[in-house]
Amino acid sequence: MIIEFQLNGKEVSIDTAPEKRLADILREIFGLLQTKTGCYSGECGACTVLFNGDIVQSCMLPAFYIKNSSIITIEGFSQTAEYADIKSGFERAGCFPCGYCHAGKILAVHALLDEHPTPDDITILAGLSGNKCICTDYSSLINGVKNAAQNRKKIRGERKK
Amino acid sequence: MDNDNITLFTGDYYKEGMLYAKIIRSSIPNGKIISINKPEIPDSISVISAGHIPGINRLSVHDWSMPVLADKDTRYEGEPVLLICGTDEKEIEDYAESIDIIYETDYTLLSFRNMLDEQIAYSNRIIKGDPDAAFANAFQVIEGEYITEAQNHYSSIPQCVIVKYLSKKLEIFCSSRWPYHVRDTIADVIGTGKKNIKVISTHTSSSCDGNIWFPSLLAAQAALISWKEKKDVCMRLGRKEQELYTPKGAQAKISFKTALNKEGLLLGQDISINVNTGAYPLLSTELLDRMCRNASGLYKDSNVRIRGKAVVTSTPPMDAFNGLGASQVYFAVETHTSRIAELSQSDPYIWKQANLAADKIKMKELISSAAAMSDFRRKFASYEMLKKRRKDLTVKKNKLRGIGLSIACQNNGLISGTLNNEPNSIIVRLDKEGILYIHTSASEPGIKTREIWIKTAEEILGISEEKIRIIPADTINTPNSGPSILSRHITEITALIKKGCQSIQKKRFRDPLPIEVKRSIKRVRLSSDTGNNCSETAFSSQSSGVSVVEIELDPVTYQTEIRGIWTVIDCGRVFNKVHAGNSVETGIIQALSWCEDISPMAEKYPGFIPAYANKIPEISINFHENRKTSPVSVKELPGNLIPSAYIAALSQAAGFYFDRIPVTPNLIYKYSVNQKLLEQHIYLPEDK
Repeated sequence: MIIEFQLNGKEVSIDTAPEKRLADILREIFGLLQTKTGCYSGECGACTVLFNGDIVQSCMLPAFYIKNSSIITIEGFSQTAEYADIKSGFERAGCFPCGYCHAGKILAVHALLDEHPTPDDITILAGLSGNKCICTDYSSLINGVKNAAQNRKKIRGERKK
Repeated sequence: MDNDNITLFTGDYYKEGMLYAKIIRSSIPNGKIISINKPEIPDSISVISAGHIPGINRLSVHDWSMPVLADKDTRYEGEPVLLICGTDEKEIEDYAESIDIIYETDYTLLSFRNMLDEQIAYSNRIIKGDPDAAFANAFQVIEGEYITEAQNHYSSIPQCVIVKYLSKKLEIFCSSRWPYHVRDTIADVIGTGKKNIKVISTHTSSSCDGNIWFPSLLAAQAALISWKEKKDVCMRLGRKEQELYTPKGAQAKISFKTALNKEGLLLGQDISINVNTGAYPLLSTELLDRMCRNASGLYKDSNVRIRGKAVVTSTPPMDAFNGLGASQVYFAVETHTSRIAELSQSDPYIWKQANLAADKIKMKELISSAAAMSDFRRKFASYEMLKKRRKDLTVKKNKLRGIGLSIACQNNGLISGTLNNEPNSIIVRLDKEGILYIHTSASEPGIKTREIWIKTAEEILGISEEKIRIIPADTINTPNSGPSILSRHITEITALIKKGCQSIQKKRFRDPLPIEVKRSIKRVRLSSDTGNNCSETAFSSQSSGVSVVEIELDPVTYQTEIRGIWTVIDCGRVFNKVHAGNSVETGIIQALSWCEDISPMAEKYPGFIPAYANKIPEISINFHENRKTSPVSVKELPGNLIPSAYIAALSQAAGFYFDRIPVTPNLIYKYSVNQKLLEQHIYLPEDK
């Protein structure tokens, strides 16, 4: 089946089985290996990508579903200013997720801040509840997200000027 | 390792023409392999069995060993029997399906709690004073039996090994915490010199997670294929394999018989430890020795008898997890002492302080501090009163509360030469450009530990951070620094870096550059009969702590919610309190995941989810720092503290004792309706 969609801002077309998982498509066909696979059941959050701006678990998306959609992986997102906000926010808080859940957590934080520009602790924990890795503590994660929110607010404020 | 200039995990590596490998595993728990029937092998596939091993078909850890590939016998379901390799993964999978192995099953040994003599692989015995006299003079004897189930992995990182074939030499990439063991195992298996094998440690989980000897097994299998086929190989475990067949933290059953005097003070103890090592007891010596030395906790042990047994069962071999047995033992001893306090009608805050060993008196300060932070005494008394007033868990509609307190220490450093007979070393070199290189085969330190190493060097040599390089571990360019377990990064490796830098400082203004020094750790060796407790110098360093856990139990759903966790830690120097606090908090969350065990079974899910905590509670952490001493590790301490404090709180909330970890709502329900268990020592029958 021919599937056309936008991947990290570029139009792409692949010929693949309609049931093939997006996570496998990204890793095997496009070589985008920073999207990891964990549970293959939408639980752990390691395979998180942005699907039309929303966070989804790419292991649960079959190929036929992504037709004409926009997919952004961590590789594409890492070129943006929003990524820099989150990365520096995390570093200032001393939060260093392991390489395996890093992509999922970063994208989840981005989606969270889009919806809640100044989230409180409970909102942050709820927003990250789909990322199940416990490589890091939650205090630094919460502080990292708050730092990222401040960074984002600052930059958006500067842009408005 | 790099692939297209991106540093990735081993499992992400791909190279055109490399071979993929699949393991064909035994489908029976114990028995003989009668025959292996395989259809005609296509040219694009190779099948490797034990008969193809040119060297020794063994992976060894000190006195113990296991086969790399099962030959005539198989001792656990999932034991590797054959390796199939080819360039097409699907073709390999299809061919694997067509192989038929005929077995003759033998009896299985599943129980480690009530075992046969033949199952005992190793035993240890420690006797101090006269426990028999203590029991003869006892006013009261309290018995208890405590069970810890297997610990699951904390990390999602899949097990994978890459082998590069370089003309009669091999380069191995794997996430091992013991790269020299990988090298030595491979050299023995393929029958070549150690110089022909280079092992490079890749990114690994910050927790042990069964990465001590298991990567050596996988690497030996992959290297075997590479050596035979003269090609690069990728050996990647599937998620289901990872869940079912990778080592877990050992299960344990620990029984106490405690003699008390009229005032409820400890007179003596008789402690029995059974630990399940799985089919091959590879780490049993170190594991059991540590458990025995920690068995009496931080309490008076002038009259104590400790008997430990490492028990072989027909299950996948277990590996070392955080604490190397300490978390199991501390769960048992702290749960037991909380129970004793209650049976003695005493506040555990009072009882535990009154029964501390003489050299642990400084713990009183920590206990007081933790109790003050958490308002433990007032809450404990209130919840105790509420518990006594209600008749039955099932009649109460409001949520029930409980609070528990536990004390423990974390012992770092290996007891004996079990895991490494050679002195563990590092090399520190200052070159002409003033750049300092630190060479250690310790696994990737992580940002926080790296900061400690760099600061140590900075302070001694006055060199800026930009001029300090920590060389990635490999077995050619870095010396053997031993296995990266028991927080040796923070303790032993930091101490070695300090010594190395101090040596360079003495020489740097009189000797020409470059200056290179090698420093090694002296191993403290103890006999198993000395009857030492953890306060003696069996361990290179020790940190201690106290935790209080407060929970709320819903009597309708049997769900628990943690209202708060307070932890006070006595450690050496703390370079960065924020990072140290983050490490402790991570340890607390990981420990909670063991308490509640919500990782789903592999049968239900196609993949693998590491253990995780259900909800994140309020956590308060306080450090009692001693800036004059070296830093000691604290990350594994919560694993020794939290489970017993959680169980003590749950027992108070529910009104009856729990004696095992993990505890699920289903288990709470079972305990609450079975009245017989309320009257005796609480343990479940063998069936789950």
